[in-house]
Amino acid sequence: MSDSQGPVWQVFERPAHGHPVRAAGSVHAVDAETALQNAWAVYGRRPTAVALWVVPRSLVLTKSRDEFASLAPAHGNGGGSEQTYCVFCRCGTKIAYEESPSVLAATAEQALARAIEQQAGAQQADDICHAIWVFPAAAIISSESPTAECSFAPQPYKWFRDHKSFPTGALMREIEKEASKSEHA
Amino acid sequence: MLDPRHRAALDSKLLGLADDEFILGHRNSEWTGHGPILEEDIAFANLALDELGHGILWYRIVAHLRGEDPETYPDKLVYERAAGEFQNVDVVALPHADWAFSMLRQFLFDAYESVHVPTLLASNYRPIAEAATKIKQEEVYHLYHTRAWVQRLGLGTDESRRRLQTALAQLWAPFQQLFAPGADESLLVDAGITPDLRPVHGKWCDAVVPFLESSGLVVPDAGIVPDVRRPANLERMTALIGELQEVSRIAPGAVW
Repeated sequence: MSDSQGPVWQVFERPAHGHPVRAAGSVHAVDAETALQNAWAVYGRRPTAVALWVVPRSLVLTKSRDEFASLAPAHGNGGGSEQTYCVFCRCGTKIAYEESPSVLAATAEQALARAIEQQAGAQQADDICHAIWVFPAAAIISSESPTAECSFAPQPYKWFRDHKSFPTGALMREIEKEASKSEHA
Repeated sequence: MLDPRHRAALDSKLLGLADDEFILGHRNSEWTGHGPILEEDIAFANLALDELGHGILWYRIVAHLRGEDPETYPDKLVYERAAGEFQNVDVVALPHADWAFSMLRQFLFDAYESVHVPTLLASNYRPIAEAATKIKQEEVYHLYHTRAWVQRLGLGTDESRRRLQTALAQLWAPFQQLFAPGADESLLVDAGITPDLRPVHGKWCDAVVPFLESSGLVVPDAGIVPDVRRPANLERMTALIGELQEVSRIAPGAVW
C-alpha cells in the first residue's frame, strides 16, 4: 500500500439528528468526493451515524495539553482576515474528540490559542481538555451540504452479527477432524 | 391467480434475476482482502454483500412461489443446485481479469439496475414491487461509487485508461445478454408482472454511453441484444459453483 492510496482525511460523524459531531477516524482517498464515499463505507454504513464530514488531515492542527503551555497567546488578529475554525476537544475520560463552540481567527495557531482560552474555565476533572483539534470550517466536505452530490441515508435496517456468532474456527477444526478420520478409515 | 405457464415463466424469470445478482456478488467477493486500498476493499466488499442480499430477496420470492420456506430455501437454491441449473447470464460469471474489469462490470450492472429496478416497482405481482423498493435504495449509492471509480480510472493514467478500455471490449457484447428476454417472458410482460426489457436497454445505453465517452473511453458499436436469454457457459459455472459449494458439501447442513 504505497502513496497511491492518497492523502489522509479525518472523518467526523453526527450520531443522531440534533447531536454534536464527533471524530470517527480517518480514511485515505485521492480527492474529496471519494473521501466522503470511503468514509461512508468504513464508518457510516451501519446505523451509527446520520451524517459524515471529511477534512483533509493536513489542515487539522492538533495539540495535546502538554503542548498548550508553550503556545503564543491569542492576542492581536494575526494581520489577516478572520474565518471560522471548528474546534474539537477530548475531555475528561472520554475517548472521542467532540465538537466545541467554533472560534473566529486569522490563522490556525490563533484559532488554537482561542480554543484553549475557551477551555481554560473548566474546573471539574470530567471537563478538563486533554487535547484540541482546530481546522477551518471552510475545509469541511459534508454529506449534509445541500450541494453534496451524495447524501448518505443511514441504513437502520442493516444489522451485523458479532463475530462470536460465527464459530468458524471451531467448525473448521471439527470438519478437519472428521476428514482425517475418514482418511484413516 | 397464475396459470401454470405464467407460473413457470415467472419462476424462471425470478431465478434469472436472483442468480445474476448472486453470482455477481460472489465474483466480486473474491476481491475481499485484495482491494487496491483498505478503504476500497471494505467498500467493494460491501457492494458485493449488497448484491448477495438482493439475490436472496429474489430467491425468497421463488420460495414463496413454490410454497417453500423463504428462510431456508435460498440456501438450498445456492448450495444444492447443480451448476447447469443456475439461470444467470455469462457476463456476471466471468472471472475477474483486473480491478478495472471488476469495477467496470459492477458499474455497468449498477447502471442497468438503476433503470431496471424502478420499472419493477410497477409490477402488479406484489412481492416483486416490494423487493424492488429495497434494492432501489442501495443502488443509488452503488452507482455513485462505481461512477466515481470509472471516471477516475478512465481519466487517470495511460495504464488505468488502457485497462478500462480493454475491460470494456471484453464486457460490452456479453453484457447485452442481460436485456434478452426469457423464453416465455412476453407472457409476464403482457400481464404487467415484469417490464419490457427493450426500453430498459434503450435507457441504459442513453445513460452509460455518454458517461463512458466522457470518461475517456471508446464505446464499441451498439450492442445487439440476443432474441432470447442464454444461460452462462457451463464449464465456467461448474468451476465457480464447485468452489462456492465446496464447504457446504464437506459439512452439509452445518450452522454458522
